[in-house]
Amino acid sequence: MRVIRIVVPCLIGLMSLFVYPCHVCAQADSLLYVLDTLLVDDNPYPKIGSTVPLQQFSGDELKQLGVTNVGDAMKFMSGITVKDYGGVGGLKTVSVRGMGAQHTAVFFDGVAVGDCQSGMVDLGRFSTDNLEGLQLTIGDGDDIYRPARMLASAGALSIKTSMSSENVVQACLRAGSFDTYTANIMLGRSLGKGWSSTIFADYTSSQGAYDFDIENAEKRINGKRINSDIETLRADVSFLWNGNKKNFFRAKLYAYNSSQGIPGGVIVDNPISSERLTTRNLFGQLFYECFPSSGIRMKAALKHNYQYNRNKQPTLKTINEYNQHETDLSYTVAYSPTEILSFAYSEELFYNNLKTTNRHNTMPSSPQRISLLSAVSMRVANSLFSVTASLLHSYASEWCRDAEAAPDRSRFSPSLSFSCSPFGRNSSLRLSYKEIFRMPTFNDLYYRESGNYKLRPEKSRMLNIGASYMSSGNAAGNLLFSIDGYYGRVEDKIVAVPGIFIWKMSNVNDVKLSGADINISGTINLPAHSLLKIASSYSYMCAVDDTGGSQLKGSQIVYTPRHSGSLSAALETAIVNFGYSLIWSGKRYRLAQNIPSTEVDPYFDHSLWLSRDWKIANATLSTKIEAINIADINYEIIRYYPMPGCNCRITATLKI
Amino acid sequence: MKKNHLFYGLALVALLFTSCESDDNGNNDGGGVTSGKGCYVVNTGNWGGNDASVQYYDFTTGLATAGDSEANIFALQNGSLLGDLAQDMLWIKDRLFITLSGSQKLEVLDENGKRIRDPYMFTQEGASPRMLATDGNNVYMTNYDGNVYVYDAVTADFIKKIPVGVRPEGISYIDGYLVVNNSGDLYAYNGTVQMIDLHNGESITRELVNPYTSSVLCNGEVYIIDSGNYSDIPSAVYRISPDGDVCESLGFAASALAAYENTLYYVNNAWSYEVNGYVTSPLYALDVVTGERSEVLDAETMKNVNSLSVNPDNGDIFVGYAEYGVLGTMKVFAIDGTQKGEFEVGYYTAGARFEYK
Repeated sequence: MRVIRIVVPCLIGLMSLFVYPCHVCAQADSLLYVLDTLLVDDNPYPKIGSTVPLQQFSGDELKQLGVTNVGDAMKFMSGITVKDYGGVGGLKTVSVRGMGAQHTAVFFDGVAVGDCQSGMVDLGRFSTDNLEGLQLTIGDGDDIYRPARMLASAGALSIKTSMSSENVVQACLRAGSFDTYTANIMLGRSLGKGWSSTIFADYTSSQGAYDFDIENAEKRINGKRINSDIETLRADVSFLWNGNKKNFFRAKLYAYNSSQGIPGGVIVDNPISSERLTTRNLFGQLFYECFPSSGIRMKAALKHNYQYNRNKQPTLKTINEYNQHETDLSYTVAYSPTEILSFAYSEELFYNNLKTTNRHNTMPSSPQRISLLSAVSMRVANSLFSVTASLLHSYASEWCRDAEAAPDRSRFSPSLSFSCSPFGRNSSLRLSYKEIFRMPTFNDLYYRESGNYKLRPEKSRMLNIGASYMSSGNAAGNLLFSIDGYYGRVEDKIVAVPGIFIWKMSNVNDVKLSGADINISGTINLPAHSLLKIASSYSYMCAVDDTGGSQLKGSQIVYTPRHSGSLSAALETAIVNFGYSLIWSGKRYRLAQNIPSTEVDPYFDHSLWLSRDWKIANATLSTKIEAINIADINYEIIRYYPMPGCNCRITATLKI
Repeated sequence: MKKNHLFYGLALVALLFTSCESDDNGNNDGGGVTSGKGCYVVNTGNWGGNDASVQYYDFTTGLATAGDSEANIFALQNGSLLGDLAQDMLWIKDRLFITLSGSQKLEVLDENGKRIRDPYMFTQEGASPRMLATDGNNVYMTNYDGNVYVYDAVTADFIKKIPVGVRPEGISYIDGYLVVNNSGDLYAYNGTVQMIDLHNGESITRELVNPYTSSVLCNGEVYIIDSGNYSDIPSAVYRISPDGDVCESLGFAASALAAYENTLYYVNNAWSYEVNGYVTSPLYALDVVTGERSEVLDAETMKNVNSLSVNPDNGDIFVGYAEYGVLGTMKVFAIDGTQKGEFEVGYYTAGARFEYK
């Protein structure tokens, strides 16, 4: 039965691939512009007319932030909270508008990089050195030509690497405090006949043994982080073919290997830390896109992702090894019968499994899941307004060895979004609504003793209203302003609840979300060809427990500040560039109960950098020196995980 | 109501501070907390939260000191947090012994909660201090490193260690014997209960599934809980004679035990997939001599139970409650089940502790 339920919709979907071209109208190629999938286009600002909140950083903007990984870059976006456990190897996860990290899907060059075990992605693992850009969308925007999986979460973070169709060499060396070293190289090669290749390889190593000083009641704990070393090696090879304008092909292979200590939180009186983690990740992807006739656009991708984790905990005398596989097949078809009307249909079928190596393990039941997502979307738009509607159907079926598996799930999730520009193309108003859910992770469902196969998915709903304004560029500079207000709910939040013997994952509480995100950025043209770029964000987030009858009702949820923000400024002159950045957050709570002893202090992180480019023949050598957290305070984003104090980095990048 | 308790608790703490102004370091290291008749409460805290705590509850006033990590008697007396994950506490003479598995240490305090010496640290691989017992002169501590550590109850000096089985948990001393729950290898459910004759060091072991932290004395015998495998083997209460002749299941499930004279109190709190939640039984009193069983507190009253303790002087029953994300509650019931008091405790309370006599 399960096979039929999966195969039939797939066949219907596949048939549609062949049926669609029959309806081809002789429509303009210009529609392809409307359905543009360029992740981060040349415009450094978010698209003004987007129907949903959309924040993005181009490769150049990332350099101005003074960050080296995606997790740190995300701290400059509004409406999100980044959990950061500190240090080079410290886990960094992002939660959009208080919904929780598992509600944000992460796509690396269009490939979902989820983790079926924990549902979270460590964004510290992605270097910004080879990125073309980052984009975060909250809700389903007006780009309807997207794989179904991008519609299947409340927020979608897309990470796009640089791929060059020309001959280019870029080599980067970086040295930083706490014995942190990075070397990477990117080689772009044109291979002729429309073929090109891009290779990126990166090696990073850090001892990460920084001093810290944190509060311990009336006393202080002064110490040094131990067991926080990390060594990573990553390689990424892509082949592109763009032989004619109607077909596009990409093959990609990505390999990642890391070995690190898990320093853990600072524990009173216990200086020992010995947990080790080895991670290997290998994925391959084939991507094909074509434009069979005008008005029609199709893309399909096949991916396999393998992840291996080995966790050694000497204090428990345990070694747990996990092997995860994901095979994913997707296609998307878009069809535009008229200039203002477009349709898209996408399907994604993926299979996950998680295996452990011995029976006395944390996940003895080897869970497997097959998921099918089908989405139909429609968009009506002209230059002054845009309306998008999508309906996603999600189906998932699971099975386990010698254990009960979660029941099959089938659910429809609608989304609607609208934008208009009544005051001209420099400004727009937007309104969007989305309902979605997140599947419980394999840890939630099947972790030994605490897993609960009867968990319901966490459901989320969000209504967003926003406005954007961009000044017309003139001699003085330009300005971009955006504001969004939202109201939402997350129901059936999954948390571990205490019992006498064991804690059990349960659907416990509801969360009410309301808040506002403000982004202001601009450039000011200064004399002598100098330019000042400023970007700032502010978030107000009221994410409170809203469970009927609970004594927690009205309490701000854990690790979610009411107020937070960022500021970055870069002064570009003919000789050198200067930069300053600030990340700040108001107080948060480490536990569900909002009382003084669960409060985590506000923090401010100021950083400075100085860079200069040198022309050497036809090469450019970029040099940069950064001073991070110059206030030298071991602030804690997560209580008992002190961040490094003042530290510095020196980077040299040669581009030919 | 909660706030009032907290207020009185803080007020009491303030009184303690004012009563010891003569101390040159401003801390209370004599008199004070236990001047009235009362008991201590030890709270486990959250994993990695460094919020274990110890409180004092005064029977006469019905007030308790704070259970908060930063305002509990240890923090006030020593100026630093107690640490991570308190497992057990023993009060003997004017000494408090507290095991903390997260901080991997054994603290020895005076009656006011002030350290009398540096904590014993157990940071070697596989070590984790667990549960405590005493014979009146020595304190016995189980450690996941496979030993029972022995300390002098007055000087707190380390005396020796006794090798036992794998990952020992609950422990009792009775008539020259130690009865140790060896919980077995992690997730293997190959635990044993081990009876050690302290005179000659000989021991007898009996195979069980997962004998856990509970181990109480009742009518000259030891009663323990085998937690089962949380799946097809349910928990069970076992009666054990120290000489090893008896090791029998009483045929009912339980997750917490307490004893008073010939009465064994028990409650069961187990996950049920049928209701997709924890199901808690009433609190039962079993007369181990006559075999008569009665319900003392109904299931609704026992909901969210996390610990069970009985005052050996008068049979008052202390029920600790824990709910997700909030400080806990302790309720005090008379032997007939009428409620006598209620106060706020720290996170995930391990229960009340009474003076060993």
